[in-house]
Amino acid sequence: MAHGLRVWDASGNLVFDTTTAKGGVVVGYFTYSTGTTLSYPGFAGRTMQVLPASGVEFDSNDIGVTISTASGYPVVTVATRTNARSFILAVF
Amino acid sequence: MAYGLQIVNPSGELVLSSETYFPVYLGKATLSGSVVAPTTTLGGYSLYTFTYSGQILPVLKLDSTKRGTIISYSQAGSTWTIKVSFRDTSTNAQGFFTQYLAEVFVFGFPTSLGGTWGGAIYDASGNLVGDLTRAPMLVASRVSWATSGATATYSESITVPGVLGRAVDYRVRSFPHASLVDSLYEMSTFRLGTGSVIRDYDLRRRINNQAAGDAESPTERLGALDLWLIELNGLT
Repeated sequence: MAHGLRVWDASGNLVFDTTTAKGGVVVGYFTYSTGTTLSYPGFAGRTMQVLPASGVEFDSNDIGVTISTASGYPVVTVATRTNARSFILAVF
Repeated sequence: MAYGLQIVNPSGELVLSSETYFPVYLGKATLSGSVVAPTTTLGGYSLYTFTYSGQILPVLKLDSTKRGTIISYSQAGSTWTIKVSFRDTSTNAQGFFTQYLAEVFVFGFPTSLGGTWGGAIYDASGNLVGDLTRAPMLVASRVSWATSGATATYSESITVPGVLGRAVDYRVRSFPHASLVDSLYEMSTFRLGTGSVIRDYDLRRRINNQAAGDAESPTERLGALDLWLIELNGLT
């Protein structure tokens, strides 16, 4: 292991290793029905994803969340929708 | 970034950051009551509860034959209720699928340290965002669907995959008869393929005998979708 972080539990089992971990961390969990914009200049150059998480069973709209990197960092635009919908914002 | 910690893997992907959460494993959700069978007009489901004051991220264990999805989850006090559809391909006379008990693994944002061995990560405001004393949520793969298509492939080796996230899409099918219309509303469920996750439609609601003018137009809206696969091996 040249660089990185490994975490063992108290029994000596390796539980996390940054040299083998798949990329992906959770920025937050959000619920919106009205539009908003979220900016993440701290993640410039990284890829952000929206993981739909919870909502009504039959939503006649899409989730309405888009991500732009035109500013050089992720900007998340949440459109207004009739039903509140929840999503996990992730980055890697 | 003037403050904090970011660690990347050898591919340069972010795997740990003090500006994000490092979810930990909290336990398995418990079935509330019994699996609810479908009716003649609504799909069946099962409800699971879990007690936690913070934000949870429930993960549904995938199966190769049964299809499932977490539909929704909500919190009342410290009790979370998670609604799940987990079904096979057998149906009742109205086309609703038979429901089964699912396994829901609950991860969550840390609210306090779970032990004394490991480490802790705090954000710039002093909030606990990473608890390295507990088992972390291990991202095994990131799977994606294009606008259309049922199968998302992955190349990673995953022992016990679970899915984080759900689809926000639905399909409406309409069946005219005489001067009336029956409308069928369906949503996506997921099953495990060979190195893939396959999404199928699950009938959730049926409205019979609508006047033609009242029926929703047939719609198929499979949206582009990103979900994560989580390694559940060793978690009890």
